[in-house]
Amino acid sequence: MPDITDLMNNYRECARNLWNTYFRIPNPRQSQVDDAFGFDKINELLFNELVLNKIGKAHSKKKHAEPWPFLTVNIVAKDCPGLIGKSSEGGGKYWDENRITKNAVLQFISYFDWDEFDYIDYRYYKVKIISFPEFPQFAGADALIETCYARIYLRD
Amino acid sequence: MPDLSAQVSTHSFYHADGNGNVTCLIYTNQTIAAKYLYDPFGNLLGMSGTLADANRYRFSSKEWYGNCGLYYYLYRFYDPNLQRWINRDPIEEEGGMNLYEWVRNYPTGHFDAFGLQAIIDPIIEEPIIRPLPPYTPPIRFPAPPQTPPTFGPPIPITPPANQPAPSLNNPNVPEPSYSPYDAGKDCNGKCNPCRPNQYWMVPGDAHGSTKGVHWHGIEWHQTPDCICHPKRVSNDGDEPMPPSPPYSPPTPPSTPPPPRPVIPNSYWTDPRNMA
Repeated sequence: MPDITDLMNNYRECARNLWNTYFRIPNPRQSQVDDAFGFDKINELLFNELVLNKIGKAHSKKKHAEPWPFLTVNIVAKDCPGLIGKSSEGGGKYWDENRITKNAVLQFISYFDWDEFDYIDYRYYKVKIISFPEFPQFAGADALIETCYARIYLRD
Repeated sequence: MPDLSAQVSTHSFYHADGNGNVTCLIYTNQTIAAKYLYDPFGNLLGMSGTLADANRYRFSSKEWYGNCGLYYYLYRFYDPNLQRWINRDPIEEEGGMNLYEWVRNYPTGHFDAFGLQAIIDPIIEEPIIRPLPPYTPPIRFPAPPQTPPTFGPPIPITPPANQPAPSLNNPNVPEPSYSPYDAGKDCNGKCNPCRPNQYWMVPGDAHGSTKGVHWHGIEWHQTPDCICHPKRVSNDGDEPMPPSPPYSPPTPPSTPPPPRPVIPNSYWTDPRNMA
């Protein structure tokens, strides 16, 4: 499996710089928020051109919440700290801390940052847990892993 | 005027440390009449001398009530064993959230003249504990109204086109803020849930929609330390908009509370001490 982490970092740097420089909303109110969705359209184009196009998967489509089936996230060390998403009462998500081991099979969904309206860093990989031998109950859940702990591979 | 000194065989004089704690009484012939040792919170570690038991003005120069083990600070009683006041702060939470905290739990750098306010000891050069921030009540969002189940025809999830965001319909309703906030914890230490997610319709095709309208929304993601963060979401193609309760701004109290008396910041500027 080819390692495409550098390619992903290239996109990451481009996207976050674009947002932080031109789109950031420090104190978002509802009337301002719709403008921020314009960035999401550009972001999709950036990902298509800077990543998908270069790995021969241009114009691949997926639902927002679903993973890219050909992008695998592998933990570099034996295990690393992570956050597992659990549904919350208000409809959002509560992210609970948990160790994620190298044995877990993870697929890349998107980059993730906590506050999407302020400065972003794309600090986390948001992944779908396909299997997790140590904690099988988490299979199918979303997880957040800091980018420094993992690398992204293109599945053949 | 009668000379009372004739009725008293000897005089003794108080000596105190920098915090006003009476450390000894000394006779006119320089011999010690009473001597006291305290821990920082006023517990008596030892005493000696002929007048030691009779003298009642001791720690912080306050009157000692031996039967109940309390010091009387005029406005409140202090229990050195518990290291706290046994009475609530008369100014309530304006003096800090802890109504029973004594000299900010920093007795070597503060003193309290009347049981009203901890004052930084001028002898101590730099207070270690920073002053308390002003108390701001937490923002509470009312729970969404509960609607009874209906058994009529199904309600279409997709609202009509060109429906603006709910708060923009009514200029009297303040716009919701999408800044991160702390949801706090319940009494069991679990995080309180974030606000409900919110979605609204936007005219025009975008994000894959083909019906001339699409939707945007904010979903809340909560960190393990209970901070809620906003996340942008939008339609994926023509998928219907999820239901969301109308935005309910926090309601201000109907009648403002009466103004409370303000105690000046410093003992030295308190008008009650000017007489």
